[in-house]
Amino acid sequence: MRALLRKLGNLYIGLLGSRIRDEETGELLGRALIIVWRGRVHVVGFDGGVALKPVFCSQDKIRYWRQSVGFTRATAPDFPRLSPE
Amino acid sequence: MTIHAPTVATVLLTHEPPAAVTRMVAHWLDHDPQQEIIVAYGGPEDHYSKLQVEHAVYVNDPELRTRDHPRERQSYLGVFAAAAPFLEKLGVSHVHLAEYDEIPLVPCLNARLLEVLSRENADVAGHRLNQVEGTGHPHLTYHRHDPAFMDYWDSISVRDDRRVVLSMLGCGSFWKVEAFLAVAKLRPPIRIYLELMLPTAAHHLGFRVRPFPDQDRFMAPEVPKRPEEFEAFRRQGALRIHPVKGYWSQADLHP
Repeated sequence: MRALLRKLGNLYIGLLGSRIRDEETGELLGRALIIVWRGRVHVVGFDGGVALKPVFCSQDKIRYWRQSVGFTRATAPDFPRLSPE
Repeated sequence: MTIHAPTVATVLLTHEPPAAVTRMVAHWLDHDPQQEIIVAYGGPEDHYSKLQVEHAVYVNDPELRTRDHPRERQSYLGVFAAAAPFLEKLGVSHVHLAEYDEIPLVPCLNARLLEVLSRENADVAGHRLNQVEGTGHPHLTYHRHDPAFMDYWDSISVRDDRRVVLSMLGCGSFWKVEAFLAVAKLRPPIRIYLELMLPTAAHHLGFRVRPFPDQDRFMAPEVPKRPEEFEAFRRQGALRIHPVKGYWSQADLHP
């Protein structure tokens, strides 16, 4: 039953979900339903298999009345070693 | 100054019956006879007493025996703590942490893993490794609900930025022994799911954690693999694959 519901959900999101592109690279990350409810943005059924990071999008001109939130993806860590060899 | 060649111990985590464990160990040794194999056994105690392998430890840790691993926050710290004395006794330089359903596909696997670690100048290399703070990673959002989670990293970190959280698969990670032993000593006050605990702990203790390039798709837990696909995966460049369930229980597959 659970698997069937998941299948139907995935089908629905595949048809009606928003395409989510990486705001930094333009890469298509997957699809999801984006629902705004009670001041929160809910990402439902994202099928891209990566961790999404919300980012405010850059704008080609200054706009005081609207800002957009998009997404980028988690990246691999690249920190130096701090422990002694 | 004497320079010793690296020696690798593969810690094989399993709960399978003794006959399957014997086949598994023989297969791993066949692919790389130079390595030490330590079986970390999480199955029934009476099965453990019947294991016919050179090195084995019994992991008596309820935090390992979970069903819904992320929700119950499965931990490998018991595995690390049980294996640590063996690693020190054997004097190995590196540790490969493998689960029973991970199958090596190439000879001299450890030489290739050592090469990756050296190329990345890393202390730990893992699969599906990502820096996830500030993301919607479900394991992170679940853990972050408890303030003790971030407080713990703050309490152990030697780094300036103590908010960093990493995620990686538990299986197939490759460690310098110093990093493995340092993580083995940790006793966090809350249970932390192993996919967050292992890489984040190593990072905050000052070790350099890096991904295995181009191998993640061969280790994806949501894509089961079958023995008849081994050759195709090998041709695609897989060093090992995961998960292959039930492989060691099928005696006819292992002449």
